[in-house]
Amino acid sequence: MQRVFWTTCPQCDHKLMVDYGIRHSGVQLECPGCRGKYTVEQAKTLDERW
Amino acid sequence: MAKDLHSFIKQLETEHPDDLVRISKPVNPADYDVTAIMEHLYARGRKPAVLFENPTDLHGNPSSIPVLINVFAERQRCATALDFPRDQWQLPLSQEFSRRETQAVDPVTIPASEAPVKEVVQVGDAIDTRDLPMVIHSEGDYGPCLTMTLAIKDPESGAYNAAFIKAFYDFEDPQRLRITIHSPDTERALEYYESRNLPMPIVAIMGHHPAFYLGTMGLTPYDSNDYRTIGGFLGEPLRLVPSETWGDDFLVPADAEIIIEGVVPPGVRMIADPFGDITRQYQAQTLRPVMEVTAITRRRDAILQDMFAGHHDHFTAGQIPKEGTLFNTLRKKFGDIVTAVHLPYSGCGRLACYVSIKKTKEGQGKAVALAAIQESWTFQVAVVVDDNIDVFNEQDVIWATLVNVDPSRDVDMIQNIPTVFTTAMGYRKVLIDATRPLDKAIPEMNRVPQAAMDRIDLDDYLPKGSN
Repeated sequence: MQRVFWTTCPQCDHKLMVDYGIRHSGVQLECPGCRGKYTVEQAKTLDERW
Repeated sequence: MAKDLHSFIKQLETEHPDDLVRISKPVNPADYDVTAIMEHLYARGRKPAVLFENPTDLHGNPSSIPVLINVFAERQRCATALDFPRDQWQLPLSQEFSRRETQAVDPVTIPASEAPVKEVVQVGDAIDTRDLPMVIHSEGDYGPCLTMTLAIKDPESGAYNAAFIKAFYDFEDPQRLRITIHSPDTERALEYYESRNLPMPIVAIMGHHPAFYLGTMGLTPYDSNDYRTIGGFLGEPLRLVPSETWGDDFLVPADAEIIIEGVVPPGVRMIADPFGDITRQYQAQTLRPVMEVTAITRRRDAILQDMFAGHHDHFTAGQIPKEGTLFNTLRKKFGDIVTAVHLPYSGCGRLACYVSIKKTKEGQGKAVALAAIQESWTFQVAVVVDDNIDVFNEQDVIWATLVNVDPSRDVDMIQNIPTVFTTAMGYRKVLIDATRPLDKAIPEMNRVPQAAMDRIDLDDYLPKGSN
């Protein structure tokens, strides 16, 4: 299956599921909860279990 | 008059008034009002098409564009879309789809002055996707999203290809959409353009007669012209009109409600998703192509059509055409031993296919399953049963699987075949031969003698007034 991981938005704690294909891309994620942007490294939590 | 969404609504209200609910109370589609109302209706066992007459747009202002959703949720309503008897909603409807697929009708081109979709034309600074009453569907979705069909044109064959997509509102630029391209044909076209560093022309078709959309869902070859195929489903030529952006070089459906024209710039990717999609799961946030909008044209009385994603509306729209195509293909390959096919709702009308056969020798079940699983990239499980099992009755299909299947022989897994779905099965496909073995002495399915069934008239035995 397509690998995914979970992040938590550092601004609003919204949990966001992300395609593992962009895990190390440095791209800014966009939070549907607060519309804030953050990188994977800035995420409050990461769940990368696989 | 050409068939369009307005003529279909009128037909429903005349012939099947329970099939359409009008809601005049104001709703905010971007605050889940639309999908919450739909979810409540489903909970009551109701799946009508619903026309929200007074939605707000993405500015938060009352919109003059109503939202129509859930058109495809009932197979009987899809039958009406094809002017086909509603009581033949099971396999005969699917077969009618497959018949229509072979009845392509050449489209006709009409002048812009006669095209309803050209009544309002917005180009340049007038383009603002916030004017549309776009729907947010599920909690946690990326944002407002258009859910109907896009069309691209193959640059080599000139054939038009139409497929369902998602087009997300872009919070940074109201003249841009972030789009998912996940049908194999559309991906192939995008690869062509990007490999040559060319922008890909693309149009989004946000409202048309349901037969138009059903015609886009068949499993036709890449180089077949979907505008011709759609004519077969409409039962009349699809009327086309030159686009605002490319003129005669890219024609668009003249009787659509709303057309969004644009280009996909090569190599550009932006964040999009999550979206609660066909498998009732969310698709993960990732990088997607974008569509730079070059024109929005619409009717004065335009309706924004939407799909209730991850629900029967979504499932049925793809289920019936794929059943028809699958049945045709298997019949060509195996002849009359193939008696019925069904893509069950439990598999979202995509993930699983059930096939019944009149088995004459051992091994046919597996051969049919292998052919079936190859027919659509969406299939992850193929189950083949005997013809005494009604494939539309899932309880019976599972019963046959539970009593007939020896997992050491009758179940096979094929590995490493890509899919866009995020089910745990992932890149694997499973074949299940649930037909009764012919090479073993095993019990038969119990039954009441047919002669007894034939001589009994139930009404002679039940108390009067009961049923």
